[in-house]
Amino acid sequence: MKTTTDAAKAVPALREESSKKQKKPLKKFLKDNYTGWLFNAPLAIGLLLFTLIPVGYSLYISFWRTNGINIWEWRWLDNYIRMFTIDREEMLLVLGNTFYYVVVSVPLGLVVSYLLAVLVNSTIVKHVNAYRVLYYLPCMIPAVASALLWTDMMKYTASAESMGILNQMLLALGLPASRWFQSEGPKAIASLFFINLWGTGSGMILWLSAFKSIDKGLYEAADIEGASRFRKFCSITIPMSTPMIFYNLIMSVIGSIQYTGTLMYSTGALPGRGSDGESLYMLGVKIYNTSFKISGAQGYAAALAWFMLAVIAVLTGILFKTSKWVFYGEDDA
Amino acid sequence: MRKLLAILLTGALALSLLVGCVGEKTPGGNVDPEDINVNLDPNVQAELEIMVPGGNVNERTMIQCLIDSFADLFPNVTIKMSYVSVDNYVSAVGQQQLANTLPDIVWSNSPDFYDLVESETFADLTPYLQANEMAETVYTYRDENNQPSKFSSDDFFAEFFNMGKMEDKSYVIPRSCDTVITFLNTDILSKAGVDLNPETTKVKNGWTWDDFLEVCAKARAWMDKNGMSNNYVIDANLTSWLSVCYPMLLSYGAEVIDTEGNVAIDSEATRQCLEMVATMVKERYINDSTVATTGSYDNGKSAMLFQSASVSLYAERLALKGKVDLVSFPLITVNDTPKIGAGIAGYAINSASQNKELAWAFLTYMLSYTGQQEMALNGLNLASIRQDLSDYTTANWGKGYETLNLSAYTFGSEYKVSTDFFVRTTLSAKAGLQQALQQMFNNASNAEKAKDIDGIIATTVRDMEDAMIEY
Repeated sequence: MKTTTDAAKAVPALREESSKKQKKPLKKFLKDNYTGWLFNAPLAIGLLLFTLIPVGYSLYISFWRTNGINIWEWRWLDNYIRMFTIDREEMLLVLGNTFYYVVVSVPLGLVVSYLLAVLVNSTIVKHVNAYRVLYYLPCMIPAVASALLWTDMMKYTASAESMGILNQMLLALGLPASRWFQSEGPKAIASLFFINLWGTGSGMILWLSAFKSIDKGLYEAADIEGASRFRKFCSITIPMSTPMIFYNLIMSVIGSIQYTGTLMYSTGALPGRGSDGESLYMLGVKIYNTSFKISGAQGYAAALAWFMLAVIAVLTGILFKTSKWVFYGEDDA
Repeated sequence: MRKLLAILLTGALALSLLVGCVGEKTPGGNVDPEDINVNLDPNVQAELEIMVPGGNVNERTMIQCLIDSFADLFPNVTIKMSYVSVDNYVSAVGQQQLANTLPDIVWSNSPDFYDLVESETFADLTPYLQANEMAETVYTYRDENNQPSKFSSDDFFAEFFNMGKMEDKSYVIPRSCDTVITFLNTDILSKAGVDLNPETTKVKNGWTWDDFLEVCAKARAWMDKNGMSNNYVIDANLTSWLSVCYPMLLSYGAEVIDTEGNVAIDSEATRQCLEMVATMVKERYINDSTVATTGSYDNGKSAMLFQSASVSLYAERLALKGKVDLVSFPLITVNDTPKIGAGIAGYAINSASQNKELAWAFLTYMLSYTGQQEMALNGLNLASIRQDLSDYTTANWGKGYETLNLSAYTFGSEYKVSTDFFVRTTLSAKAGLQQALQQMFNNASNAEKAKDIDGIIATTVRDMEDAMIEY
C-alpha cells in the first residue's frame, strides 16, 4: 500500500519537474533570442495587422450583408449560396472568361518568356546584355500608363487616318481593322494575351537566374559526348530548370486567376459588366466591382474572394499532385 | 545599442499603428434646431477641412475664394482643402469615413450622395436649415452689402434645393443649379445655313426635338461637304450620362422603376425612344457606340453638345473662342411630357465632424448673396441657386458672357427632372441600374444591335432585375 501511495505522490512531482524542464528551454530561448525577435517585430506586427487580421476579417464579413460601416445584417452562408443560385449565370460567364484567360495566357506567357530567356542566355547573339535590358524595359512602365498606351495604339475609329497605330498597320497590310479589347467574345481577351507578351521580360529574368544556376559541368560533359545544342537544351537545360518552370507555372496560374487588369480597359459604373463589357468580365473584376461599386455588398465580395481562394487552392493542389516531372536533384530522382 | 534600437523601432511602429487605428467617432444623431448656434463667436479658433474634386480647377478656385472671404469673418479659423477623384468618389469617401479621416465638409452631387446617406456618412442638415430660419439674422448669411441677414428657404430655387434631399431630409446643400443645356458651335451652324438670328431663329429656348433634328440635318450636310464626314453633329453624352438619357425616356412617356419599385422599362415608349436614338446613329448625327470619335465639341469638330458645365469651360477654349452660344435642351413633345435633365453639385457635412456648426456656417456663407457672387467671379458660371441672382445680366455668374444666351440654364423649371428613381428601390441596385440604362442606350447606338430593339430592352430588364436583388 505504502509503495502505491509513494508512487501516486511521485507521478505529479515528476510531471511538474518535466513541465519545468519543458518551460525552461522556452524561457531560455526567448531570453537568448529576444533581440532577434524585437528586430523581427516590425515585420511580424505588419504581417499580423495588414495581412492576417484582414484575412480573418474578410472571412468574418463574408457571413454578413455589410458596407463595412453601418449596415450589418447576418447572412450565415447566404453569400456563398448566392454565387451558385441567384448569381449563377454571371458566375458562369465570369468563370468562363477567367479560365479561358488562364488556359491560354499562362502557357503562352511561360513559353514565350522561356524562349526569350534562352535567346538572351545564348552566346551566339551579340550585345546580349542590350537585348536583356530592352526586353525587360516594358515591365518598368506603370500599369496605368501602359493601359493608356495600349488603348491609344488599339484605337478603332470611323476613319482610317485616326485609327490607332496597330490598326493602321493592319490596314497597310490589307487586313481589316480590329476593335481589339472592345470586340465581343473571345477576341477581346485575345487582345490581352497580345498585350501581356510585352510583360514577358519579368519572367525572362527568372528563367535567366535558373539557367545560371545549372552546373556548367553538365554542359562540358555533354560537349565531350558530342551532344548538339538542341540535345543539350532538351536533356540538360529543360530538366534542370523544371523547379523554376514549376514555380513560374504556379505563380502565373494564381496571378491569372486574380487578374483585374481589364478594369483599366473598361469604363462605366460597373466596368466589365453589361453586354459590351462581358467579354472582359473576370472573377477579380467582379470582386472589385462588388466591393467598391455596389452599396452594402462587401460581405458578398468577401465571399467571392474566399471562393477565389478555394479555386486557387484546388488548382495549386492539382499542380502539386502532378508535379512528378519536376527535377529537384539526384536525391529526388 | 542593438536592443535599444530594436525596442525604439518596435515602439514607433506600434505607436504609429495605434494612432492610425484609434479615433473617436461622433454619431450623427438627431439634433434639436434650438441647440444649434448659427451665430458663432467670430473669434472662435478652429480648423476645418473641405474636400473638393481635385480634377476640377473651377471648383478648387471658387472654393478657395470662399475660404479667403470666410477668413475675414472668422480670422482664427483655418480651412484647408483636400481632394477626391470623381471617378471613384463613393468608395474613396467611404474609405476615408472608415479611416476616420474624412474632412468636415465634403463635395457631393446627385445621385452619388444617396450611397453616402445610406452609410450615414453625411449629417442630416434639416435642423441646421431650421436653426438658420429661426434666427433673426445669421452672421454668415451675407446680403448684397456684406451684412448679416435673415435666412429664408424661399430665397432658393426649391426644385434644385430638394435634389439634395432624401426622405424629406436635406443632406447636400447645392452650390448652383445644374441643368443639361445645348452648347452650340455657331461657326459650324451658321456656315451650315442654320438661322441664328435671335429674331427669327428656331434655335431658341424651348425649341423642340423636331427643330433640333432639322438643325442636325443641315449641319450633317454641310459637314459632309466640307471634309468633316468623320465627325459627328452632336456630342450627345447619351451613353454615358443618365442626365441626358433618363429625361429622354420620360419625355417619351417611359419609366425606369415604377412607384412600387418594379422594373418598368419594357414599354412602347422605351421602344420609340431607342428607335429615335438608332435613327440618329443611322443619320450620323451621333456616333455609333462601337466607334471611337476623334472630333468633338471641345476641339471645334462637332456642331452641338449636351452638357451642364459652366460656359467658361468651353467659351475660353482656343478652338471655340467666339463660336459658343447656348440654348435649352430640345423639348421632346411627342407625349406632351417634355423633360430636361437637372441635378446638383454641392456640399455636405461629415456626420462625424467635430465642427458641424462651423462647417454649417461655411455652407451658409456659400449660400449667401455674397458667397454666391464671389464664387461666380471665380469660375462658377452656372445659374445661382438663389432666386435673387437668377438674372445673369446683373448677377456675377453671367459676367463676361452677357452676350450669350445664359438663360438656357434657367429655362423651363417645370421640365427639370433629376435621376431620382434610384430611391424607389434598394440602394445597392444603384450602380447596376445605372450600368443597365447606360448599356441600353449604348446598344441602341450600336447599328448592329439596334436591329433588335426588343432584344436590347429584354437584356436591360434582365440586368435591372439582377441589380435589384438585394445583397
